[in-house]
Amino acid sequence: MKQKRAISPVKRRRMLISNVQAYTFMIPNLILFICCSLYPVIWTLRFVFYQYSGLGTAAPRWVGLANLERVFRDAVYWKSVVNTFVYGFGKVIIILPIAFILALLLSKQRKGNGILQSVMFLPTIMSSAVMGLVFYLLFNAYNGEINVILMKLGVISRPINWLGRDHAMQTLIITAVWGGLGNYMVYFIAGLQQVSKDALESAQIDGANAVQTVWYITLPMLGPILKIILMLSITTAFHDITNVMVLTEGGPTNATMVMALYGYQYFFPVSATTSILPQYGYGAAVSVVSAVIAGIVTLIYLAISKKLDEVY
Amino acid sequence: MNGAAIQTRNRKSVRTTRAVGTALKIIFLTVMVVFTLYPIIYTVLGSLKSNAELTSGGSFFPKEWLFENYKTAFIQADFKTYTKNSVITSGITTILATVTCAMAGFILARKQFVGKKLWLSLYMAMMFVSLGSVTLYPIYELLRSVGLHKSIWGLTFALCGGQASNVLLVMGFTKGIPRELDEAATIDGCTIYGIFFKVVLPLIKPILAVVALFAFRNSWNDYVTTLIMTITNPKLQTLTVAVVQLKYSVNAAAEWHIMLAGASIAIIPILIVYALANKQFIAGLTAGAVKG
Amino acid sequence: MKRFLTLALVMMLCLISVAALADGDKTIVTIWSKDRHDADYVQSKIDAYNATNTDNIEVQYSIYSDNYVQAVDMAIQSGDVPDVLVFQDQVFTKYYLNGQWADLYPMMDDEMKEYFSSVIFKDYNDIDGKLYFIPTTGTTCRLFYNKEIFERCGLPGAPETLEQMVEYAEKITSELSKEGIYGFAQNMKSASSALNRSLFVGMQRESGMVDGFNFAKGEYDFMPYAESLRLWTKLLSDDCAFPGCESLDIDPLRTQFANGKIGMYFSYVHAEPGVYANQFPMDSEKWGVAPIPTVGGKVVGKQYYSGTSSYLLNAHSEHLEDAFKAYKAIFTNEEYLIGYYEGGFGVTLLPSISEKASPSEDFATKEWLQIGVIDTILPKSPNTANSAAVIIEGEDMWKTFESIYYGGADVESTLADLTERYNKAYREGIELGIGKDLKIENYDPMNPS
Repeated sequence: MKQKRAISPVKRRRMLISNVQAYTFMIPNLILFICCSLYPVIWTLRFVFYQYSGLGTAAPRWVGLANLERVFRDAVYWKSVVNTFVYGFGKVIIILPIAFILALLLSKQRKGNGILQSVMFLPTIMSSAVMGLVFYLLFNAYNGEINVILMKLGVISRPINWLGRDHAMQTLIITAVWGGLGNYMVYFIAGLQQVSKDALESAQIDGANAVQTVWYITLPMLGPILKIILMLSITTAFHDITNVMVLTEGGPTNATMVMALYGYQYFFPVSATTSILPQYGYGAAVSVVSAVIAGIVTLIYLAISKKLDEVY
Repeated sequence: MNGAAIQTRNRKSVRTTRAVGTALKIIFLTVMVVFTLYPIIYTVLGSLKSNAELTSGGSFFPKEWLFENYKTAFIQADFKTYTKNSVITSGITTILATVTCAMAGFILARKQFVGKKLWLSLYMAMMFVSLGSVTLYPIYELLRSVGLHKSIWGLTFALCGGQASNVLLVMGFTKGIPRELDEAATIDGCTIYGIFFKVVLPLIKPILAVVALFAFRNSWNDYVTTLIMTITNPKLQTLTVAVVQLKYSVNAAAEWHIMLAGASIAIIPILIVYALANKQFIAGLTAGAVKG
Repeated sequence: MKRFLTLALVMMLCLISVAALADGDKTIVTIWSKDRHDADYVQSKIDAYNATNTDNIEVQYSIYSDNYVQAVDMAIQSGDVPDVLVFQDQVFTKYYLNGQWADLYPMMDDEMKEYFSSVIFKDYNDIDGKLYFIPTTGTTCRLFYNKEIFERCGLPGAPETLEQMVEYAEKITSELSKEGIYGFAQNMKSASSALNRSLFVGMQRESGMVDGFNFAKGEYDFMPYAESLRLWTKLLSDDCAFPGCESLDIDPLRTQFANGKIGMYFSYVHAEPGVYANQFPMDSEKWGVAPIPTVGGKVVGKQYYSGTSSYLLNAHSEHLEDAFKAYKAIFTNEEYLIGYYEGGFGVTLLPSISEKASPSEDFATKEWLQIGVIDTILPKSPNTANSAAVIIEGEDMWKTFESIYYGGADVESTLADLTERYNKAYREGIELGIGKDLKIENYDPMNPS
């Protein structure tokens, strides 16, 4: 405050104008940001401490920490957390090697590689909801195309229940791999372009074969981009919900319930025959705990990768 | 392979290794291409089959090419309305996102103003604090309180969202443009508006193209937001939501062909956009990734 | 860029003005439905009404199917409730106390009151002297079975006990699964949708309880469900059940039943005849209907039936009178009601209609399609009477049952825990003043009202 008083009126006026100008540029986005990002988050944080089921039912009731306590007792929620990790890691473990090999094969400037890149990238621009529906038809137990083909080829004799308890998570991971592969391939290609040519050439002069070159030279040099890739794959796995919603709706018997969907269900319960009341307070608590878990995982990951950097 | 390597080995074995390598490469790539394209081809070809043919399975090309499936989808399942909704919402979202991000990104990169630090840290925070789709409820409530919850404008607004990460993306890109250009323009008598429109805007077009493409893709493909915002007013559904809702429709089990026709209608426009701009999509992804 | 912006702006303005140029001068009456099975029939009647009515009313009819309850919830919260809504238990009970639904008595003339007097039940639709809806047809749940498959396996007829049912299902599956035919199927994808049309209804007769609520004691007790759940676990095992049951919706199930791939399943009497007559054609003589079997054939109570094709009117509607006019003209005229019954969309509850109508042969030959002696109107359990008053911590009864028959959870301890959680929630609701004590002195499940 003291400083401001020292400023001359002319300067103050100029500063005012400059601020007004700045805000004319900011305001359109600020409106969106405040309404669609900031306000909803604050709203959700507030309702963690309330029990509320919407208008027409009892008014919001302050319950203190009861909702949070309940989250920690909720076995189904923790199952969904485990599922989220299974889903996330399952997806990453399959995607990364395939995407890496694809990137190695397709990163060279050669005829046809551009087209192949575009083809492999194609799924990432498709709606995961629409493709979820298509996969739902493809993987149907009793007349889905996948079972028909596998039976014709003689691979299986009885239809596999792809969306049943035992396989639903695997099926979900397969579809997630389908949808995410192109992204990771492109990240790897970007990373490969930063790998120094000199190192590769000198390795070959030293008599390293292709596999050795990749293992000892390319992979270590991909370090920085690999970090980003792992980071992205972890965080996206926490938010993927459309895929699960359309393909399995978290079922059967919560086999594919992930934490993002679990919180969502308390806000928007869907049922044709029974009315399940929304529980906004509890749903908010679930989402907040999930966000914290995601945050912790990210921090742990960052800490580990920093440690690794020091070792190298 | 260079000469040094060849000398150390038997030529023949090198040749066989290389042949095996090439064969493996081709097999791997073929498998991957089939894996990638099969669901899409199934959708497009399946949309031309009869329901009976689809549900009994096993045929690749349709026995009979039933183009009337599309007619049924468009007229009976009212896909013309949904297509219109999709076009309007995605179009406006794209414009809204690009314009607002360009403006905010520019000013954040170039100017000091009261509250800048606060806003920047809030933008950052919102990128990392993700509560997921539960926040749609407060947004819906907000739209309701201003009476926009039943209009396509409310839906578009919600679809556009906060755009925090895109603002930061544009900001980062703008920072890479030399400030000397602005200064020269200021000396020439340009106001801040002039600098924005005449100097910076033309130079940040590449990143704006990325923002626009991804905004378009996201809103065209969005499911959850649109589902919630249109639940009391299904006439506002977009193609994506309408297609998935067919799964729960009156005759779901007897209408796989209509579902696939609907799915094709929903994916073909984005395929066309992709065919025209696949390089930008791929480049845009890396641009976003490098920023984190 | 500037040109681009101007273009965008102009486009937006154009669109806004188009949007502003809304509707003409007709009174729009909106009707929401959740029912798919009668959708075409109702739509045709509405189209006819729109074309002919002289009150300048246009009816807009929308179907929400799976999202119905949610859509109504959101509509009520945002104040855009439609003028007329298809009755749904939860939708009704949740909001009638707030005065959301209109009392029909003041709008009905004496003739109409007289005509529907047989379907007015105290405390069901006539509450404290107000009439909220008029059920014209009814529904309840039964076992549906494929007679051809039964004959092929040498089974004498529909099973009478649940044990027998398991035995039959095992026999069919073991003998015919190589042809893709299985003994039992249910739309287990949604546990609540599946169990509400099967196990819970059977248990009403077997134990005299509704949703595990014992009216005589005024508390929940799920322990009597133990034996049923053990048998259901067998029914849903690979030895009996159609593969993929756990992710099956009801419509795909029906197509498979119509294709002769399924021996038995449970569903509603109001829907199935229409489905096999129109949607997924199947010869009437191929399928049969029977009461839901109970454990050991034990019966101590009656099972519920509920009124269908009843409509609620929004009391806050801006044109309630027109809404009632449209409702009366479309849904309560005799021609509509006869057509509805004859079309197989619902079993009529009105004596005058059953006299005049000649329903499809299904209803003539299959006595269990009719609402009969084993059915009655049952009181509501606390969780249906006011779901806001019974907020369960953890999984609800349907999901918990699922964890038993699919998840292999221990029956006794799981049911004990479920009982405890429901009683806790129920008592809490009463303490908070949201719920009511629903104990009924000297409750007789055979004669509840």
